[in-house]
Amino acid sequence: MSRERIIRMGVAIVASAVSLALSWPYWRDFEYWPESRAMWLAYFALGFVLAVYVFYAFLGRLGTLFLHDALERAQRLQGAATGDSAEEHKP
Amino acid sequence: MSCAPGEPCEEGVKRRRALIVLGIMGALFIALSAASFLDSRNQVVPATVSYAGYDAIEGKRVFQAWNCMGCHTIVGNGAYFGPDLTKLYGKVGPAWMEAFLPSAGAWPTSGAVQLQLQNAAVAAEAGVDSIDAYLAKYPAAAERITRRGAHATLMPNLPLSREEIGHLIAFLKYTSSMNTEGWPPKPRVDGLAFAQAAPTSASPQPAPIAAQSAEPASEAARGAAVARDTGCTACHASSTQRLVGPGWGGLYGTEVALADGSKAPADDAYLTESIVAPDAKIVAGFAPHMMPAYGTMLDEGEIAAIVAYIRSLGGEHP
Amino acid sequence: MIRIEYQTQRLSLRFFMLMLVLFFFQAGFGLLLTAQHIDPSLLAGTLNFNIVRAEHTNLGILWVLCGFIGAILYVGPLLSKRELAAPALIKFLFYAVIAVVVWNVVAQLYAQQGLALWYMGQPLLQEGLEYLEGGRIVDIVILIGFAILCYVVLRTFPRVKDWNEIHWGLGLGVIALTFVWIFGMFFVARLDLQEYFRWYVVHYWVEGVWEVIHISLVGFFLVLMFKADVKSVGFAVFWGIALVWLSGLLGNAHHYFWIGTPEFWQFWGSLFSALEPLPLIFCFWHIYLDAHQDGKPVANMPAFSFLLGSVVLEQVGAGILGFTMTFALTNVWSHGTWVTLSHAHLALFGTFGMLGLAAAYYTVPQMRDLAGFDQRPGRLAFWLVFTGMLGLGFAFAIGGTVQVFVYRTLGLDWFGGDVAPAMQVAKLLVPVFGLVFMVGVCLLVYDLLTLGMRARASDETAPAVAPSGWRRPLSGWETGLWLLAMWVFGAIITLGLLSFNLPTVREGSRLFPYLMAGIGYPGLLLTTLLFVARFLRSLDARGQAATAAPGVLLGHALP
Repeated sequence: MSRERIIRMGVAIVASAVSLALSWPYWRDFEYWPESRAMWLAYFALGFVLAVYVFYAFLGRLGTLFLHDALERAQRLQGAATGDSAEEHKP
Repeated sequence: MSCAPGEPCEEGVKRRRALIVLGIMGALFIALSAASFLDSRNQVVPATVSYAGYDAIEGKRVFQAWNCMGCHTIVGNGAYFGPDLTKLYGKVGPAWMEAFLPSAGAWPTSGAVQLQLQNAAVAAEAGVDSIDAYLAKYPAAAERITRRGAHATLMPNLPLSREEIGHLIAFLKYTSSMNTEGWPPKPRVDGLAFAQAAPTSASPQPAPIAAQSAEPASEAARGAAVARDTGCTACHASSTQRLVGPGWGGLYGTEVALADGSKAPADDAYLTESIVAPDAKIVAGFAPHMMPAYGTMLDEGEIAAIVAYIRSLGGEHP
Repeated sequence: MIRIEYQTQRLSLRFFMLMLVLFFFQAGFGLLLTAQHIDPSLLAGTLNFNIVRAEHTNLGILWVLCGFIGAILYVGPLLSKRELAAPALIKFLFYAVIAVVVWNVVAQLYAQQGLALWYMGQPLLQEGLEYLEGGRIVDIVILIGFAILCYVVLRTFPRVKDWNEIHWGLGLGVIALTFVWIFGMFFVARLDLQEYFRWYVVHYWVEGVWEVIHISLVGFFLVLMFKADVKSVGFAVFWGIALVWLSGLLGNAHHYFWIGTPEFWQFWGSLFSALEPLPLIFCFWHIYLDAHQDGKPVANMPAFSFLLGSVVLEQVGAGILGFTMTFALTNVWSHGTWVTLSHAHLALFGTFGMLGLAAAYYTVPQMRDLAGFDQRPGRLAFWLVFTGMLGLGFAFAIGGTVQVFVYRTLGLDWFGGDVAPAMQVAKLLVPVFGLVFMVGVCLLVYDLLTLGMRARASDETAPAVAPSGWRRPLSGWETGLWLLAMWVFGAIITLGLLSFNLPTVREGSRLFPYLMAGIGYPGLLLTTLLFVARFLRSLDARGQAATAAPGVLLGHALP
């Protein structure tokens, strides 16, 4: 499980780094105080952390989506084996 | 169900975490938004922009009322049918726009732009008062005159009033001075050198009028040339069709109904007066102050030639 | 077959019918626009391009809203296990929508005289802002309409503590639908500030709030069609919506690159809108998994086709094409050109339009109490509008690439002399695909309007054959490969747009961007077409395998 998480985190970091590279504003002119060097550094750091979180959450939730599918499939097979109809799903 | 049986279910924690991150993003968005519109950003605002006494905010209302964005784009948003208007004022200058907007169905000629420069307010906004200096200062206007002058445009003639035109130019003066962070990108090449550019036609700029007068063509033909060169034909058709102003076809000698309810015969004196002082008699159904006074730009001979040309377009000869 | 459980569900029928009529007129206006692009003098002075375009965009928004209202009214009672509250208000809402449509269609005509009817600083008739062309009068009536919808939905729903994720999605969706609309109701003098708030409505309202409603409705229709487990659908709905907002809240900044706002938005907008496809990929897998949960035949193929089309075009139009032009480095070129049109048409019609059509195909047979219906016109109509729309996306994208090169790289700004002639081929392609689309629309509208009212053609099915080749079951791996192929072409398009920054291109060589666009766009759109064909064929094979077994249900009741 923790190995999966490490892989996900790794993928999220790489993907965020690629996104950051594609978004890199090389034309910065530092003219306006919210565009000072210190603020830009803060933007890059905060943006990167938030992007990693979104990617990580996405990968984790996508995994759960497939997990649900597998679980439901198993339940269905079990239901069919015991002769119950699929109607038994609780809403 | 959100986790496999037998494993600790952290779904609630994960969902709360997502909402907290969303909250952080919301706060960040609000902070960035606030920083976007502070005075210290030094972005131009329309309240500080005026053009020859016209108001940029009123101009924005005109821009919206005519749904200009429904064909053009402004800061890149709109309909992609016509060109982007954001930086147009800075490129072509006020006199070209003054010449264009009243009769948007045809591209202004050099004469039409020159005429607008006779207006002191326009010349002051342009910063120059001779056509040569103007074309040197606004090369995009020069390019338009050479390549497109007197050609039909793809834009309909909109019945804009004199006030609306002034406000609209004020608004575009405002957008032109906006800091749009480097958009649109500046081309690095001269596009006219490429095959995609339509070949420049030689026809719209006929030989100077002086050269023609040496060879005495008919007075009416000379008048037709003067009318085209001065840009009269952008607004006046040679038929009875109404473009911006009344058509010239069949006009001569008729009784013209005026806006004040009276009538006037369309004779030489009336036509001459309409060229020299257009607001003296306004034809019923047309707005005043639309046509500039041509008295200072054309000499008496040229005006007489135009009148002869109009006479030749038919009508009831007295 | 399943029957309508709650009589007030039938109120949705009139909204679906209105949706179809508006859709027809919207597509008609679109066709007129393509003709005006080819001959700009067409109807100039009578019905100017900007008027036709305002009608086209406004009707587009209005018919999608009709579809939403219809779908919400249909699922509302099922989600609440009781009749809709205040059906009289819904009937009033219906006539209010008709009044708004007629009023707005007429009011837009006044832009031709520059008449906005300013009163207390506000334009009453029309206000000439892209997508928000309606004047204040229509804005206020629409606001009241949303408030009515809000009231009815929230009064119908059970107590908040009994809400599941679908309730939350729809509940918050209708509240936000009302609230965010307000940002479009003020005249703003500053152009940068006005564009800033305009995108609140166009991005947060259309992309954010509609998307919330979209995900909730897709989730619930999957529950209805495939008896998917409500709890696992709830999980998908929650995270789908959460990811939309986690990426889209800051991703909205991709509209703030060049409108006069500071350049830090270029970073935030690029980074977070790069994440915006994630919820769409999530939603895409959600529909794949739920459709393959039980191997049973899909009873209502037209409805499922449109539902699948909705999720796939969302992936391609909003996800991939949106991604290609969302970076400041690519957007600086694509902004304000036909490249945007390609994305906008696929995303808006695909995602939201097709959902409304799916809901109509699912619900109309039930509301007309049909035991079954001839599905062939519906399926044919799906393929016509789907192919037509992909073709439109292709024509716009190719035209856009040429436009970027001529207009931006070469700086030629004479639309009549230089830009439009360069785009001529694309301009001619648009009505070709537009006609295909229009034929599909006519068939669709005819089919749904008269469903159950004409004699039913014999519903013969092809002889059952062993599912093989394109009919064999679609595995997750294969789906993944299809999705990967789409993204590879998306990456090629992105590189093509990025290449406009290259020194060689800036000096006038068009080879690289044209080549990449020439590979990327047809590749992406053909892959999309083939993937949907493959998906639907594999589901067909299930149906044929089951024709031998009696008792195929038209749909599935909520357990």
